[in-house]
Amino acid sequence: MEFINHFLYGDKRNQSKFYEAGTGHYKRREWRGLQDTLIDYFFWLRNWGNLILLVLKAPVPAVKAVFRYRWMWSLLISFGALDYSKEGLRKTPLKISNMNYNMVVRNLCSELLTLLTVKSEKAIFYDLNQVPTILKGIEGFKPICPVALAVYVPSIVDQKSPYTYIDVTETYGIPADVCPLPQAEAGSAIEDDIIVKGICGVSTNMPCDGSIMASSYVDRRLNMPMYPLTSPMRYNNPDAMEFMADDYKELIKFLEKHTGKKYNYENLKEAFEMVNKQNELLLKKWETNKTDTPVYVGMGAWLYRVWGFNVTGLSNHDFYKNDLKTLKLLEKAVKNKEKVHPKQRFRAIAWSTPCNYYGHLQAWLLNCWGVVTVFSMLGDSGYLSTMSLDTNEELLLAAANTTSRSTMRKQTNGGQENVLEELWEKCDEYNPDIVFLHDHLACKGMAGLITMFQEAADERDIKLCTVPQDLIDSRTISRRDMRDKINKFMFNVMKAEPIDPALVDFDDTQGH
Amino acid sequence: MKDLKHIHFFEKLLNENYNELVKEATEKGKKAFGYSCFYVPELLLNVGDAYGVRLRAPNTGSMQLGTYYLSNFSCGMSRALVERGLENGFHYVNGIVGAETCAQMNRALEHFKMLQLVENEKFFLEFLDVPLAVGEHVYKYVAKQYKSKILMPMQEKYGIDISNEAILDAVKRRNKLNAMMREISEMRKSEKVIITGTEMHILNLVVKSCPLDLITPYIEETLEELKTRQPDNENKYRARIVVVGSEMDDYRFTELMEECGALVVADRYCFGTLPGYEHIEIVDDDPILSIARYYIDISLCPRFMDEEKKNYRRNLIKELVNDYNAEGVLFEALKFCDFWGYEKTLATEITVNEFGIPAVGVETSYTVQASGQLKTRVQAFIENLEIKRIAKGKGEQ
Repeated sequence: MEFINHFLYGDKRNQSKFYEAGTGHYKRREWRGLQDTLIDYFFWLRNWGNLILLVLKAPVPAVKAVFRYRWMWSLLISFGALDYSKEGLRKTPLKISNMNYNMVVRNLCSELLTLLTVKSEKAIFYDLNQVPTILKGIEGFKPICPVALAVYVPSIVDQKSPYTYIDVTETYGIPADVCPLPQAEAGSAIEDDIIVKGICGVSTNMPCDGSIMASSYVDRRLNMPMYPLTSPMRYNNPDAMEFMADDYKELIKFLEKHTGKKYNYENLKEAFEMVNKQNELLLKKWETNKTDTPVYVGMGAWLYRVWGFNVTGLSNHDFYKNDLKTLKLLEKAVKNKEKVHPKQRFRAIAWSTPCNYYGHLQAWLLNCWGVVTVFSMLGDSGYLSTMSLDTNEELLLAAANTTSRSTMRKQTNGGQENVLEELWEKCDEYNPDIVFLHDHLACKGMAGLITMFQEAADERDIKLCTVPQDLIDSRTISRRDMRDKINKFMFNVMKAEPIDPALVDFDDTQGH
Repeated sequence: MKDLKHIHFFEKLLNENYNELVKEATEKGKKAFGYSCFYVPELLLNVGDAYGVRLRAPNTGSMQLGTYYLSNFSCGMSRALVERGLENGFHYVNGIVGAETCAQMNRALEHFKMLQLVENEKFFLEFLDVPLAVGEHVYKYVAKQYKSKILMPMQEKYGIDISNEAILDAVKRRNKLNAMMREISEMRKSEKVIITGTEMHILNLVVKSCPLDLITPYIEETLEELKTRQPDNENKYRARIVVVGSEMDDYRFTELMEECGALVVADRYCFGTLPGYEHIEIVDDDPILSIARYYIDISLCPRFMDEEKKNYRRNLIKELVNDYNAEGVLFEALKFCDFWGYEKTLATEITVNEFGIPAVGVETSYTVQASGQLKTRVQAFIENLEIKRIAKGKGEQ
């Protein structure tokens, strides 16, 4: 009987038994029951299919790239990281996570293929955290973001991948206290580990001071005509969007000059119609988490938005179709009062920039402490009201509104009210028991508000746990240290007991 | 060399924010407005009965409270300002204009509002949003903010005259001071030392920390004095250097370098002379637009991203070395300053490897008390310059 139950309904959710000591690597995959394992396996195959297809389409560049760029190795183990973030999930949350990840993987492979095969004179470089939608207006040219593939994605799927770039930058002389993400960007340029292609490029001041300065290093390596698109910092200023629309006009002149192409506003309109549609569905998806049975959870929720926003520019039709499907599933799950975990007890909001090397922290919170993360700050990048798109001027304003509220930047820039006051509004909407505040030590903007968060949370009687982390450098604060901080909070402040005691402390420091 | 007549008075002025001249102006009914960054047009804070003072925290000791509200990773200056604010050190300021140009200073100033550090119902805090590039659309955007975030609150809350006449008068007064400061700065090109780097640093600081109208006569008198000042016959300095970098509002840093034997002949840092004293031309119908143009164009802040500005600010270092007959460049970055942390490193490499000019990059703390290591670095750099000089001499022979 027990065997049949196990076969049909899967392992009991005690994840620790799958881990190897020291690395946290899996000894074996989780058996989720027949149906869920088949679903999981199906998507696993699809992901691999995408990767294999990529290699088949461009075998020589792909193999060459594996030996030329160290980050290619990290991309090859990316599916492992996805598995971590799906731990313990069943039914709808599992399916949605898989659907979202599959979209990301498909798009990642497509981007990688473009990057490997596109001719330099037919590519336009854009900076990490820039929104590429505006480049849709230049036909016949491919927007490429080599830094996203060299630094950002690897930092999520392999905690060790940024080490080399960070070390190179510090050896070069840049102080160790700067944010490691732009630091690694600069490092990838110093180390000559980014694919250098493009007839011209667009650099950006987003999201922070560090990334502005890292652009100096990347631009120097790229050595191509570069337009510095400067998104207003105080984007709520009455004149800010008008200014940025003007800046876009200058950018368009620049692109026309360097590509020899006339800018096509129709393409931009089409793209922003899709942005409007995706935003609308996004709000509906998060709306389901305001109920008593939230199921839109985990890295699959926020990473999908980050990728869709920053890489596809929210203009990919496949992402939209996926949104429609996931929304249906979510609504059905809410109707059926489906739970993410049978022992779930707490609702939480994850605020501030999450830790890339511990993207699957929410899965651990769920399986160890029964915490369901009902909202993640990175999950709602962009300007979410419906944007008017009737004239060229309105299209540029839509681009301005969208870009200036880019990932991380939307909350962390433009004044404390965007991140501090916004949190309390989210608390009113999502009714969390806990707020996990990701305290990114090297983020000077957010670090300067941690005390005010704490004091304001005390005044509002909100339980707030600051979780120190260093975004992409796990040597500063390891995953284990992060868990330790949360464990103490859960024991002492929440007076809770873990639902899986074996997960409270384990060593995964040496793992990917 | 004989001490400058007012130098000790200037030093006394720098010892506290609410100094003799600020007090005098306040008692006369003038309104003080604080600012935190070169991007803020100090000129416009001097219209009508207003005067601008750059926020400083002289004689900072402990920064525990500032650190509590910001973080260990915030730069010393931002923490020191919050600390001084918590000590009610800016009680005389009627408004503060910051610039969202650096996250740390931005957060520091936000605490003035969140913690209500200035007890004044009319107190206002505004942030300018200054883009990181140049262009007509940038000037217009910035000029609009000058009106809405500086002039309008000053008028609405304190009845300050912000008419075009008042603005043009402020430009005139500022241009007069700028011309004098330029003339003084030019004296540093001379082989003979007429004014030391420390003295220049002190002059720069008093100009920024005191009411414009009250400090101008002292600068005028100092200029006249310098014109006839007899330099020492013997040069006690071992090398002439250019200092480039971030915030440095304690002249004792320069004093420390000069005590080591490095004469600072050009100062291209926040609170320095270069840039900041250029002539302000009103070329547009709207004087505010011209002022925006002036401040954006002369700024050499590393956050500017466009190629032209980047190349200009790096090439300028080579020009300064030539014009001021310097032998090396010291790049300084206030610890935890992201902008200068990156810029210092790249600029040092470019200066050494592309321009062939000896350079060193150092990190400084906000207060000179914690800068023992800096002395060692400067001494080593001077020795390096001397060795190069000797080697060059041998090569020529």
